[in-house]
Amino acid sequence: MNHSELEHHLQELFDGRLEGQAFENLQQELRDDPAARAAYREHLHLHHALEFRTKGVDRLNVVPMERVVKRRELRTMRNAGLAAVALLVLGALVMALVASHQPKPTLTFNTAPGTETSISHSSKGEDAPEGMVLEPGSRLKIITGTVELEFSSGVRGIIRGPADLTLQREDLLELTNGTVWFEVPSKAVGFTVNTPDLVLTDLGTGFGIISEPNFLDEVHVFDGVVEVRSRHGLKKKELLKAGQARYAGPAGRWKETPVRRDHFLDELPTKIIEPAVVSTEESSGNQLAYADDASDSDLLHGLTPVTTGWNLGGKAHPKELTDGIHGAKYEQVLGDPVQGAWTTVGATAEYHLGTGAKELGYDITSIQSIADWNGAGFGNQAWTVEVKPVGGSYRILHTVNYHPLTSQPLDGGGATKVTLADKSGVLASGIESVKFTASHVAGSVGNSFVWRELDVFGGPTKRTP
Amino acid sequence: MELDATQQAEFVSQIANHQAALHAYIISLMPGMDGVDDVLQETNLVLWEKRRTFEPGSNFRAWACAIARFRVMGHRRKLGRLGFQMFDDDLAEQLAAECEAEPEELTDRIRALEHCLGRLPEKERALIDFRYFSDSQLEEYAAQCGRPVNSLRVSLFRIRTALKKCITGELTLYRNRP
Repeated sequence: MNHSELEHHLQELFDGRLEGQAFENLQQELRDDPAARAAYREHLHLHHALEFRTKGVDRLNVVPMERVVKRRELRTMRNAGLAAVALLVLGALVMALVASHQPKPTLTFNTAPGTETSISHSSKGEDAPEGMVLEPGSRLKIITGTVELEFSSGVRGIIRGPADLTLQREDLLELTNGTVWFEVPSKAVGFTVNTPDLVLTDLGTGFGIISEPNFLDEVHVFDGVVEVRSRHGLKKKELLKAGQARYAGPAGRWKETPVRRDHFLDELPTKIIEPAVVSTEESSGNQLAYADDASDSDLLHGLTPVTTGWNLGGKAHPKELTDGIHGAKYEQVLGDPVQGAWTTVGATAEYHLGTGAKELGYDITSIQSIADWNGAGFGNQAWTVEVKPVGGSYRILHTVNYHPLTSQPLDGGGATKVTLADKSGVLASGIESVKFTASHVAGSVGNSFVWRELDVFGGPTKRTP
Repeated sequence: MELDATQQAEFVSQIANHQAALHAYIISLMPGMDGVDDVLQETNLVLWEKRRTFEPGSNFRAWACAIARFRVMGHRRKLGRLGFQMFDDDLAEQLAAECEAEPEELTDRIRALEHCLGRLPEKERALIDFRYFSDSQLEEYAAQCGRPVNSLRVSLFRIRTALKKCITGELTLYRNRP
């Protein structure tokens, strides 16, 4: 049997369509050829992952034993012919309800100015919902902008695009990506959101979810209690209270992350929101492409940061972030193989700029960040920068998620450079401290990256901000 | 002796944590056959009934797979009596044993799968979603989208081949360390 025939037979097998002599031929091939069995295992893994992914939400809500027992009892009852009677009674009840009530749409939505969406429904023709309405099976994609969701159950949500969601049931929403805030009244307790990484069940609360492709999904609780369960690895369940935020690591263990209330909208904007921060992103297959861009004259140069959570393996160190030196390739300098800072998810570096010549703090005009490595996505970058005005509290200035190198060849390497600026010329004014927090990048071990240089440009604030 | 409340909760948690592995193991013993979900449920029930016999600290996965194996063999015998064609017991056992011996990479596989699905054109993604999410027949989808069912089967073959290749590439990336 040649490779093409084998592949065809295996796909037919897992579709339950292989029979007759073709089945016998495949069976013989699998008995005789270890390579055929390896191909079989590959198909098995694909089939299993596809099935588990799509039906996972039911399987992850591990079947309570009482339900299994009831199912068995029901099966016995069915065998006795009683189920038919039960079905008739149930059918009559449903028909009575249909006849006496015009159902309210399960979910309606409104859009903010400038929002672009597309909608599709599982029901076709006359059965398809009309207008800004979602029924179970409907899928809403937000290309850009913000949408307000109003469930008939009383659940309300504000979701920022780009986003993609499918209503599975009145109380179950599948969110493939998007940043969403929900408010769930007590009568709708049990409302569940299923994302690629987690299953979240609300216990009467207000919470936010960030779900982005290639990043680990985060849940932020602002009020009440939610139950979260990781869909991967250990599939650990945890109850989160107000003021807590978590993401599930690749092994399924919950990890803390700062609560980011300002990341979520709880009202629909009344005008188009244009981002003030302008982010310029560049990438290259040459890992030393931006080696000459590291600055030794920016505001951070020479400052010693307060750091937490960095990987110090291979002599990597966060002090190399602001030394004005890009650094050489891996193992090119004896005794210092990793010439850069090696992040972990949640690693922080906090720089105290001081209050400046006029004690008004500093104006930050731009921020430049360079990451690179010899392969496997470590040249991507994902981070958040927060600024603290003189005498004030930290606020998030911007979040960077830039990961163009996930498909790079293993031995190719690559670099990314991100520059933040503001249309007004000043990103932030009157600042005394700046804090950077590394986030998750795709395709690398531990979702980490190698940060070569971090430059903050600006000067002392001259007038009261 | 009955487990106390904490032990019961831990046991349920163990069952929950091994659903994916059990599902994969059951499919490996009965590829393309109906009833995988039923066998998994039956296995869960038997695991619960036998909870007092499990020794804490021993290999739960191996114990659960052994129980699942008996359930699958019972199911296979039933289908065999109904005339279904299936691999002989020796080959089924060999395939399942080889699958069980492989490292568990489901977390990475599902992550890689999501990534690869994200690269598919919308029409191809819709076809995969229909095939694995809907309980309806492919013929119904063919009628909906106005394509011959054989053409959809060819598309599915091509998409799955591409997904398999893409996942293999992603897993290689995940294994690479700086």
